Amino acid sequence: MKNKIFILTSWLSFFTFFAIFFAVTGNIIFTGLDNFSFSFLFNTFNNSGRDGGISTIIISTLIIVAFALFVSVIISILSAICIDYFSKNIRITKILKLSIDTLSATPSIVFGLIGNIIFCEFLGLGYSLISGSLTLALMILPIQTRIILIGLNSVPKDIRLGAYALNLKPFTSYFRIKIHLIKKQILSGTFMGLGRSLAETAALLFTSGYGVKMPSSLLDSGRTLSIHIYDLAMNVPGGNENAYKSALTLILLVFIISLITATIQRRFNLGQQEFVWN
Amino acid sequence: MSLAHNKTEDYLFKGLLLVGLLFSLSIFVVLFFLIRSGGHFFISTSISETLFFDQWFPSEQLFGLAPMITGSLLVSALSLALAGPFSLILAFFYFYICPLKLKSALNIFMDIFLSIPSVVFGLWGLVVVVPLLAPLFPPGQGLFTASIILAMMILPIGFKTFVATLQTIPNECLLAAKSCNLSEWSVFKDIIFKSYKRKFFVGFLLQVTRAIGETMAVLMVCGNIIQYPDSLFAPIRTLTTNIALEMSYATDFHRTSLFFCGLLLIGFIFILLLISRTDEMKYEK
Repeated sequence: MKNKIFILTSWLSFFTFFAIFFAVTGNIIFTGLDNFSFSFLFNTFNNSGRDGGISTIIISTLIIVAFALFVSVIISILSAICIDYFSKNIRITKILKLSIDTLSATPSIVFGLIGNIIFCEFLGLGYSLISGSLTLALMILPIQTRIILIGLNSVPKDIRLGAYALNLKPFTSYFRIKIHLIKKQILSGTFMGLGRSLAETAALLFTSGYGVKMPSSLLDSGRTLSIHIYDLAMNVPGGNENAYKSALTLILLVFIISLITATIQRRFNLGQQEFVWN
Repeated sequence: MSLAHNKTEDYLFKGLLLVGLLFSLSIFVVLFFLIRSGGHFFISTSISETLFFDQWFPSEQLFGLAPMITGSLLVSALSLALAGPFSLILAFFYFYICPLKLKSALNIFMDIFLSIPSVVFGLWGLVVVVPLLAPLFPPGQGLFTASIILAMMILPIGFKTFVATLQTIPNECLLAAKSCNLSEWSVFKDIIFKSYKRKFFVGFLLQVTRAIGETMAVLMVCGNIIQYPDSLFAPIRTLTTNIALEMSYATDFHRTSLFFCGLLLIGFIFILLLISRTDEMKYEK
């Protein structure tokens, strides 16, 4: 009897999940598709966002995200190599891993504060695309570092031993050999970071600002799609329709990216093997 | 490619290693700047007074954080109560009961659900959930609405963690259970839950970590009134939303107090992280 109730509960939770899922995505997609036309994507911002399109916002989003990924891929490879290099020293590794873990658990609003004080004020960049993307880079750094670290750990022992036997310098063994073996992890980390940075709002509120003009340089202020949605929903009365359209655009982008990430992970067997009855 | 020792490459590697080290330790840079801007708060006011004081009027130099801390803790606890058991059962369902054909569908939909931006959840809550609850429990924006939205956001995180945990169970163990014809309930209760209690606890902690740090969705549906909630549906304000709302116009000491809120958040999260790690530490010794 207990067993039957348990199985029923678990099936029920399964269907509840799908109900919730379709309640959210269905609502966003169908409401967003009302009066949706592609000119919305290519028109400029008008009347605090009630009319007009989101072309300038899409462009600043792309600039912020691209620059953030460019920076974070480089620094995450470096920090993963650093952690791997010190992996024999348990004490240092412990500190480094705890630091990366804390950084990845830090709330995004705290990154917003930090980005504001470091990039906008300390480095004097002001509310600009570049401070936004550097803040984002700091935020996605731990995610990418972890994935690349998994890749470095899974480098076959033969290669480590071979490099040791040839008396290769660490620079050669890392940047000429091992980096070719962790390409998949770097790729999957990049897509994960892309998804996270597109979805981020709180970290950008006080770093990239609310600017709506076409950005002419990295030092201009510019809002991303997610900030645009927040602004329309909270601060602009009557902005809900365009908020929904922007949400639809954002959601479709993020869905595609998350599917690509999942495909990469499955194709390259980066995830854990599933348990199958047979 | 010459294998001869190359001095410049040596120096280059050391330089790159140093950069890597700096970025791996960037949490300390974060802490340094937070303390530089928010540490002033320690000196000027007594901490115990601030943490347990319930008046927040920055213009009159009254900085009581107690209602915000209560709000943060209540929202995360309530959302964990909604999402925690649900995600655990769902993970077990995925792992043990789900037919193979539905498995990949559930996995893909969970991936997609995980990727929905928090601001979209907030928009959905604001436009769909709030008007639904408003006539029944005015004003609609409040503790309960925020908890529902948060629960939906932390559900896939718990699911992913629990599935990863369940996949470490040795295959023989499950085959033995199958051959003994144990029911699903007893597999769940007597085998899996008993031996993985500790790991599930860590998964719940992870969910709480995410719930405390969430800003945008909560900001849009929690009502943002500074008070101790007197009912399940009363509007509240959390630490994160307090920062997001007031940062844009805060100056001087008010600003310092917001950085102190940031420090407090990192403190909470660090404590949760340490609790979840005590288990690993024991094994290492």
